[in-house]
Amino acid sequence: MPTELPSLRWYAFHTPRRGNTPDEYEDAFAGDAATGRFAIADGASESSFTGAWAKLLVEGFVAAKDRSWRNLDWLGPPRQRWAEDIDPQPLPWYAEEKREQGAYATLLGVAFARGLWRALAIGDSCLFRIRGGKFEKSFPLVRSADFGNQPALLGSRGRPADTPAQGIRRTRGKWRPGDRFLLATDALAEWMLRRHEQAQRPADDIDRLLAEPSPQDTFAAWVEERRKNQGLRNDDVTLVVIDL
Amino acid sequence: MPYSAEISRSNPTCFLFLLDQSKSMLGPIGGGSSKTKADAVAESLNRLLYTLVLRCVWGQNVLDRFHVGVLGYGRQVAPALGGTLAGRELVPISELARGPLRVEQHVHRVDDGRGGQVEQVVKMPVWFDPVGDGKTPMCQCLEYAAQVVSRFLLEHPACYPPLVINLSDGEATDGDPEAAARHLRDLASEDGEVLLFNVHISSCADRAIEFPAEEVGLPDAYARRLFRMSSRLPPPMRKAARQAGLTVTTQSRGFAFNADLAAVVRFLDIGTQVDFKNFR
Repeated sequence: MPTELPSLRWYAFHTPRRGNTPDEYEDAFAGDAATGRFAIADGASESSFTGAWAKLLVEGFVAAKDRSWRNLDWLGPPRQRWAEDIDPQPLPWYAEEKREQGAYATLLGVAFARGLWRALAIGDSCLFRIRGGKFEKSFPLVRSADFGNQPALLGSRGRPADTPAQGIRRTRGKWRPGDRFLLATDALAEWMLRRHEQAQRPADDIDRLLAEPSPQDTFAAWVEERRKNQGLRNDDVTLVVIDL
Repeated sequence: MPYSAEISRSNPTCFLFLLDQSKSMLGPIGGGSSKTKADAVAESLNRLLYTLVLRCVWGQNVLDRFHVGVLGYGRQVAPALGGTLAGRELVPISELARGPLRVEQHVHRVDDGRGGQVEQVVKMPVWFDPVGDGKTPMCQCLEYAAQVVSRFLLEHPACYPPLVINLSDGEATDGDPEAAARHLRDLASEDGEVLLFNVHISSCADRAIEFPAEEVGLPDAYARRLFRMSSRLPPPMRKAARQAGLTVTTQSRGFAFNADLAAVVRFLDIGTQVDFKNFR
């Protein structure tokens, strides 16, 4: 019910890897202020048709009925949809084999209700809570050194290994008015944690981005500057900012 | 930090396989298999090339993240890919995908999950067939490999370092290959030295020695020479080796001695691992 939800504002930013075109961007994001649900996903670059899968995942999370998002029971329809969209395409034999393997992506979703938030993560896309300009919570990874391992992924084919039970992480907490939540795919999340470890206050960088007259237009340059000067890894970048 | 360059269409890396095609390769491989060494190596390498192709398939396209070549040494030292790729030293992986000699279909019967069985068709592309003829001019092949890799480095100076894997069942018949191996390993991109790995194919039942970290304990002078000819494993491969249940250290070399079919397959898989985080 809408009365249970906080009033919030949200912004989403994204940019492809340097050297890639916008249609090669394989992250995805979705949000619905009315239901208080937001998600990002990062398609694995070693699989095929991952951009479509990442998009179906975030949309599926945000649209899942009632509390079903807390489990992964809602994955059936997005998996079916991916197969319906992708399987009929005529492909060369080697591309058929790769399609058969399915597409893989991380997923990070968060749901806000009155006073509370809950999050679910598969893989290394991260959530940060900022309170009073300070980094206070990081989920599921907490140190920049935690990146770089093969992250858990959700697969589009629905075989047992495509929903890695051990890879699902959950957390919850209380939010206060004035809190800011950030959802970031791995390259940006790693950069934020590293800057935080170096006492460089990455939350201030986000403030400055949002204070730009047209932050959407500035985002790609904001990312590129950090790739050049601050070791932000060249990868698709997605950032969702939720202000409560 | 070396071995951290991005691997992409604009900054590809290369894999070059050197394949012993001497007469002795027609003998049986150790480890209880009925296959000849030449059959086993051709089969493993064809399968590996397919894996490399699949790593670069993106939707309906193949991204040229890798350039791949196979040089054979036996009766002659020459590029070993056939068909439309005959005579080519290194080919972009998209051309490799489009140019196998043939695509075989293997039918497997698998459980259908309802108590019965269904036929599953597995496609097996073949880029080259087994050959066994002549001596073992390994030195000449290593020198040829150095020329091929040098040309690649000129075109791609910032690439993730090229990898050369030498597969052989015996000693060089044209001299001491250590100097040629060193020359090859001394080549470098801005991201690090060229990697040379050596796989000695088994003709006996002795257990394979995989990724050893020191010369001490190797069975003979030949094994120790191949050890010295081999590069240390960079981090992504150490990780892959550990995941395969092998014990490796920072000193472990890309070297297998007395490798049976399973060890060859495992070596090729571990030896060609690159960090997917470097993929673009």
